[in-house]
Amino acid sequence: MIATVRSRLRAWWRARYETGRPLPVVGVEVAPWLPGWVLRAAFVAGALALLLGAGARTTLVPELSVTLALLVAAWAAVRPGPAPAHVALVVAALLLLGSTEAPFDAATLWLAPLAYLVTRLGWWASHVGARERVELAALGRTAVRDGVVVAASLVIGAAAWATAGRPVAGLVAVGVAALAALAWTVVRRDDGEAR
Amino acid sequence: MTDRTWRRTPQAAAGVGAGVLVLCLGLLAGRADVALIGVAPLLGGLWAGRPGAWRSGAPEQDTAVTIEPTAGAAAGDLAATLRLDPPPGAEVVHARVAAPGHRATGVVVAAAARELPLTLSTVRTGPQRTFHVDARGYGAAGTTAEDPVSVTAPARLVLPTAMPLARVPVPRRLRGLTGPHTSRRLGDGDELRDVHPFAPGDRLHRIDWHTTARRSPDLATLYVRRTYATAEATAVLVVDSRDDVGPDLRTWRGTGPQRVDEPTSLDLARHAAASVAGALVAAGDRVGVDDLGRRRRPLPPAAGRRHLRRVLHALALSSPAGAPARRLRAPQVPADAIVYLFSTVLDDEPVDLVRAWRATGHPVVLVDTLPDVRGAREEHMRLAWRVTRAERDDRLHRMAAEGVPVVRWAGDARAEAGLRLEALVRAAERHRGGVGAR
Repeated sequence: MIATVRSRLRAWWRARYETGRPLPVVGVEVAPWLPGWVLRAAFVAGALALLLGAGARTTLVPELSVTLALLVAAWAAVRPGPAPAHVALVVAALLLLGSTEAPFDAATLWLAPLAYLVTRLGWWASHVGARERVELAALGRTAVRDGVVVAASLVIGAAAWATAGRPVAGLVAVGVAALAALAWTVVRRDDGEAR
Repeated sequence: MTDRTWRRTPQAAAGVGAGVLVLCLGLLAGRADVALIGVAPLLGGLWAGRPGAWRSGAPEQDTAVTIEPTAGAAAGDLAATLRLDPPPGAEVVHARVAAPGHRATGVVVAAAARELPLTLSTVRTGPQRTFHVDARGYGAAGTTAEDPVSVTAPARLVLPTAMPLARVPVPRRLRGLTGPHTSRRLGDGDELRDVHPFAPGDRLHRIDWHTTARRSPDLATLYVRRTYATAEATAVLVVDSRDDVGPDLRTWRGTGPQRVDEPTSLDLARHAAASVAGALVAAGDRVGVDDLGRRRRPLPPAAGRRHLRRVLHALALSSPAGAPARRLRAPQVPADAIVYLFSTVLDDEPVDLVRAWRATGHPVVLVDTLPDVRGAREEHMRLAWRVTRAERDDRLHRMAAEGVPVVRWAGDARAEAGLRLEALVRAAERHRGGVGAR
């Protein structure tokens, strides 16, 4: 990695200073677009907000949650990708365990969408270079599906909020059925066959 | 062996893994709010549906990627159209468009049949490699991705452009019986030579009745007006394509990439030759092309617009084939033709060729096409360039001392090359030296 950084620095120095100007850019005409660095910045900000928001719900030492948030945000800034995004999600869940508003903290109704948004931004940040162009139409196309996913999880969250702390007959059966459906879905999708 | 195109990505595995972990965490702790955080990533990692196709699965076919060349909007622009046709089920397509000498551009577009205009600008001429596209489709939420599809556009032949020139040197001795110039021979033409007594062979319509009436009132002798014949000039453009060097000394070994926004010596030679050819053809003269870097039949001299297209193509294709061997004798040129040699003069071969042509009576114009070289940081390169430059300057001084006109065609001097050629024409008109004027 150090060698790669060194060679990149050398190439950048040569292109920028020894020839007097950088190389020209290939022109590609696209519809209205966002530069990739906006998504990267949004990913870092989203991860930071998620962890700070989750940390604010806990009774832990504030410095610890802030340190964790800064560490994950730094990781997200240096190496954006699924790993820091999902680590942020798990850490947020762990922090939320310390919430005093058990058994159901209503803040999760905005923390859960934010967590999913962070995972999606992590994907964008890892696949799009800082100077690359992301068409707004492409973002819109994924946003519709992500909106459906978030809405479904919020419906589940609302139902869980409504039933929190109360025994509900048959909920165990529903949980078993849900787990079976989940297992079947995973096995069906990853059966090792070529697609 | 299975030829898989679409695969699950780490995003899917991470989403499912993190979702299950958080769900279990919430269940074990008896906290539905914690478990809720894992629901959306789990759903996103497992569900491949999308608006309009809620129950459909992952895509299966490749994204079709094609590049079709199109006409550039301006001179020096190379354009093409990138067509993307992703399969059903793809959500977005990530395309990275690269070109030699350019910084690549990456775009992410919605997965639909699309046409993206591509452009690149270059001052280079001749065969040029253009666009290379790597495209990759992604399924719902990036949980599936296809293997990258790579497509390279075919190379394009960029013809050299021409700079308008007023007059360029032509040989003093002209050829043929027709053409734009007045020769020294008797014949059909516009310029009066003399009035001469009628002789067998003279045409009757050339009888000058006024002179005849004045000099021979009894019509004992008829007088005719004799004119100079017209003729055409022949020029041979000899391109020294053995060297193709740019302003950056580090690229002279042929290892580093040359910038596309800086013309190399061969680009300058093509531009200069195209400009001279354009001026000669516009004047009705004959132009041929020869290439020192290739052993092939030269393009014989001819006139006309169609021939000018052939000349431009020959110039664009002039490039060294392998390591050019040293020529034992100068390329043969037609009798009485003027030779334009476009060279960097980085070795002695151009000097020997010029002397050989001049020894056989051909006037020669040496066009210096070495670009303005930038100084190098490395000490060994600085030293090598000092030695090379000193030797080159010595050759050019010797050429000038032997009476060979040297016209520089690089850097700031390129804009003044037309004036320099015009000065040569005027000098020839005054002194009637080795080269004439058209």
